[in-house]
Amino acid sequence: MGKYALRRLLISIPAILGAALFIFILMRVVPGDVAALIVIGGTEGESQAVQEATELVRQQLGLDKPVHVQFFSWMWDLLRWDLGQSIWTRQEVTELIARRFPLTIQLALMALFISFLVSIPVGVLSAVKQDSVLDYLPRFLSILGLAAPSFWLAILVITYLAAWFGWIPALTYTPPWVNPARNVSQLIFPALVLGVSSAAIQVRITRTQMLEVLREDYVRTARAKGLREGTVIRRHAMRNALIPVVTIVGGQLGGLLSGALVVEVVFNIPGLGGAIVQAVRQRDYPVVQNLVLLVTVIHIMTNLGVDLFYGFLDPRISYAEY
Amino acid sequence: MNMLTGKAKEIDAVPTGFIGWSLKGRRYRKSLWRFLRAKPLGAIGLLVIVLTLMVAAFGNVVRPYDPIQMNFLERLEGPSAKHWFGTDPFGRDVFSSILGGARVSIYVGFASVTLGAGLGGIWGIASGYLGGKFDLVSQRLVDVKQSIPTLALALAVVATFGNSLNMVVLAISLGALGGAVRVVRSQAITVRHTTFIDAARALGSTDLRIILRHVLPNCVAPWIIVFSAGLGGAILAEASLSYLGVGVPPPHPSWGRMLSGLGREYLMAAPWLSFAPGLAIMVVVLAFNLFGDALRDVLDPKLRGSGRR
Repeated sequence: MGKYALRRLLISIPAILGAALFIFILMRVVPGDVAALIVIGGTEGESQAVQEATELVRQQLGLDKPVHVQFFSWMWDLLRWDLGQSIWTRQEVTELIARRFPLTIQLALMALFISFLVSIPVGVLSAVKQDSVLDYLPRFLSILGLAAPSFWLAILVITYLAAWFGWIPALTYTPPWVNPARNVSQLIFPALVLGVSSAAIQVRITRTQMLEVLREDYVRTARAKGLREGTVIRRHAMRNALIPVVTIVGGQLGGLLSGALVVEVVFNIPGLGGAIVQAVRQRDYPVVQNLVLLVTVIHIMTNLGVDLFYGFLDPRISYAEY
Repeated sequence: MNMLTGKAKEIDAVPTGFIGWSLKGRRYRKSLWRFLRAKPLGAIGLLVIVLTLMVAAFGNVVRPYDPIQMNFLERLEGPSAKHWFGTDPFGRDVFSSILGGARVSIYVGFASVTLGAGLGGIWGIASGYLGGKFDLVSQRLVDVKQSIPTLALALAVVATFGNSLNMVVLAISLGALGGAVRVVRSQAITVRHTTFIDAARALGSTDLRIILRHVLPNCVAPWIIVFSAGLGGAILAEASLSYLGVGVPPPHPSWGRMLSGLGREYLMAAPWLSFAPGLAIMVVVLAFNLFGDALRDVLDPKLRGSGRR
């Protein structure tokens, strides 16, 4: 197990490097743009002064060096946790991440937790009471939840639900270590909205898995030896059905992080979302490049974590084959 | 198991002949009719899709008002018989704007999925059929691409190339690419090991001929599934990008942008401004999802009930 974990960790390094290279190439396809944008706001300039100024900016940003040198110097900077500055605000990207990232990850985790808490019982119930109202209603809501845009749900929640509870988006955020209750109450509605689409997927998968497991021989055996239905479902069916669900749930964290970017913008939460969107609008490429890579690395790492956890949950999976 | 209806017995009712569907004459009409009967939800989805396509095509003709015509005598009116979805602060008819937005949503949805799933399909067939080093390298490339969350990747594309209509299409198409490569590749590998491919090769067919005549037709079903499953997501992605202000630029009307601009400003005073575009997005995406699910159930018995991932 330890050996397998180590090997998987080593395999994820080229994956991260590959993703970094991919993002880097993407951001460099139009290299002159950023420098020109800084000098003259992106319009075409022909005059001598404009060209000289553009060249100067290009030098300052290191854009005049060969592409491979740029890439390796970025990698070296990454290793030293020096992510450069925003072109426009001169703010350190590391500082930006330190300030904004905790909020985004907390929002994503809260959403994951809420959706898991709701969707597992609902999915199990839906399978156990197949073809009843308790089955149709969650299934109807889950296909609806998959189709509803999160930012629209957020708008509806702010307009109706939150107003009804007298809740308004907070102007400043209280860190959990200062006042946990206040912190949670500030993020509860955004997390609720963010959790809807992942909950919809989880309900569907839990239900399908449960239906499959309930037809297994060992469930019939458990019933035949006289166990109560509740015990059969809890101890025999659910435990086996939830294994694939856990992988899906873990894999959703990456998606939730990107989803959080949108929801944050609606709720005015000062997380990574606002920063990325702002940077994209201004073509602030050091910020975009590093933040996209950050989200990617977390995605890769959570998938790795899920894979390892999977083996822990299901001892039948042997790592020796890999 | 069937995800949508949950009834196991329907699996037998689904015509397996649909896989070998032909586009001519009675047989086609018959399978279409069977599909509609076996999959009522899919049929509803199809109906909404056809309606949306017609609105996208003929929206300019059927819309009650010019969506950019201002009328200051009818500012911020609530929904009424005259203005179904009310009017905005400039007195423009919201229903007409919604009809206009359908064209952009449908265009971006179809164009990006056609591009992404199309290239992905070709790549998947090449990768699965040729195998070897090409397959190995292209699979690692796909792994890398898939490890970058779709929205983050789309944002990076828009940051580089700007947000013109076609760049938004490109940004969203990347989301459909990886899945298409994987699904079509695995089908191509299955097909490659069949005896009829051996037979074709023994007869002296070239690789190109084998791909075009034998592999490609057998990869159509999973490809259609990937295509139809991607449409709803692509439309949602366009709406998200436009909502964030980095999607389809003006003057193209966009449901996502309608929600962020005036809709946000007049959230309390005129809730219909933000209600209508959101509802439009949800209904269209729902229709594509329902139809896609039904199509998957019919076309691919193996995937049945595996749920949308």
